[in-house]
Amino acid sequence: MSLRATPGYTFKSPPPALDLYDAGKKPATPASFEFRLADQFGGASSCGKFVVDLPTATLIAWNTRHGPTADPAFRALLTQLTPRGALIRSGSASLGELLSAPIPRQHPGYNASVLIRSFDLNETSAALESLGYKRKTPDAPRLDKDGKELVLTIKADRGAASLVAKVIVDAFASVGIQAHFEDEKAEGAADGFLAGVSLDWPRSDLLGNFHSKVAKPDPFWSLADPALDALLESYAASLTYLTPSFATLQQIHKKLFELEPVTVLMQHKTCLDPRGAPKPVGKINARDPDWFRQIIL
Amino acid sequence: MINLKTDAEIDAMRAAGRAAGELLDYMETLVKPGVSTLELNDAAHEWQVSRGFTPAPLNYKGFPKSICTSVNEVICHGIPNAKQRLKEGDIINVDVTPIVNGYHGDSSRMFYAGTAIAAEAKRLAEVARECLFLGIKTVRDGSRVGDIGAAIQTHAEAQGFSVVKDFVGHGIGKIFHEDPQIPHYGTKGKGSRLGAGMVFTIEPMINQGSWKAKILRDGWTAITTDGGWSAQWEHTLAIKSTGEIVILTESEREKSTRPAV
Repeated sequence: MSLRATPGYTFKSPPPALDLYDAGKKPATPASFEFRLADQFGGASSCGKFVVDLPTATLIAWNTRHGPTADPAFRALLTQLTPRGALIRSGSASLGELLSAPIPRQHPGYNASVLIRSFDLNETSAALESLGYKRKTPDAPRLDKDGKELVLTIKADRGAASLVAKVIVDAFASVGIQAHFEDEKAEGAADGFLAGVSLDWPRSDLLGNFHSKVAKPDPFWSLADPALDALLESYAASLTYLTPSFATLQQIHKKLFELEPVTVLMQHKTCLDPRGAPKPVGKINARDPDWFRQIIL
Repeated sequence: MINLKTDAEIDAMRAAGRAAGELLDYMETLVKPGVSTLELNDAAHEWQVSRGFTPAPLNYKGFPKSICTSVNEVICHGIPNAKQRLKEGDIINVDVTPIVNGYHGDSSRMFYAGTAIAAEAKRLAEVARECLFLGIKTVRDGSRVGDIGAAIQTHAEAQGFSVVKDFVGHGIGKIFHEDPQIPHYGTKGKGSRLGAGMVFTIEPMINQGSWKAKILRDGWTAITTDGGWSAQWEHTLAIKSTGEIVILTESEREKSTRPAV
């Protein structure tokens, strides 16, 4: 049975193909391009020929089970307290994308109608007051509901001294919340975990991250929300169909935005940087959002 | 995106290809004046279902039958029906795609109703088959999609026929229609590069007159705009990692009559 030809899909105008180069120290290796992520970017002021999106993100997973971060409204305020746009611009040379849920922006299940929470210290400060997190004076530390100083312990998988950690400490301090970053190996419980994660691409199946029956999906804390459970199960089942139910994933997106189990700092982008002009080791289709899988499979 | 297949997957596709070839062998025994295209459909459906195979065209994007039957001026995607009975001298393309073990085997052949076939109609069908094998002959690891189309177009036009441009061959595997698209016209050396792991169909549709097609109101049946007759042959082929080209859907009986091109 023949296929109706797609207008524009002809051999005369194939989709643009990007040459993949090994730009690392060993150009002869099969690895085909260099990831230049946020803290690897250093002082470079421009990147190579192509900027492409990565299915990876930096995020803070919040402890949804204990402490003040168990409250979705409080978690949402923490996201609003985080200057994510500034982090992307100054911390990663604009090689990042803001997300409102841990789903790659290019994914058909990403719900673009869900808006990004904007950074607003004044609004957040007032909202914290209304939630019962008070300050005795405008400069005093903010107190939790028991009258103790509000301190959040956040573990980090790449050490506690990163630029990201410093920016978050400063931002939280400006409304009186003391954030304390620790190495991931430190003893004791945490209120959050700052981590770089691979987003599940192209499936974007979040069942193992947020379903209530998953005990402690590292680095996430699961959620106890029956409606979300049902949506996660429904979408996971639809992954066995020829076309998954992206509408369901969009509902999951909306639900995750409401519950805010994580603050996604950014989805990463990268440059394809052909240095030293080694021989191309392959090509990718620039129009294909699934290009990452073309490389790894 | 082109889904490349491993040699093991290509080997697994042989069963679907073999089924398509054998089904067409069976269809050849049924085509004769007086038989309706619906009877051909029902026989093909029963043949597949009784063996545990699934006829892929049935309900594919709303296609209502299990095979396509394209008679005379119909280029492709003719819908079998009870009213359409073959007449002496008709030429018919039967297009089948059984799904076996999850894989599709897509193939079609031309058959003649009776023996009183117009010489021009016979030549059209033979040239279409030659075009198919000329296209297949260009395929190798590293060749281009345009090589296939150029070989087909050159031969068809040299014989005074034209090549349909609205319908193309396609990648195939667990999905019926996938990338790449394989036009049956083009320029040698142009287009995407073919490589190991690719499995696709070549299915040139050759018209007596104009290459232009129009779709009937049923949304499927494509006919020539000038009423000239049309012929099509189709095979599914694979490029293995060794560079070997495998025609998955060619039955032993068909192989014995392969044109020398």
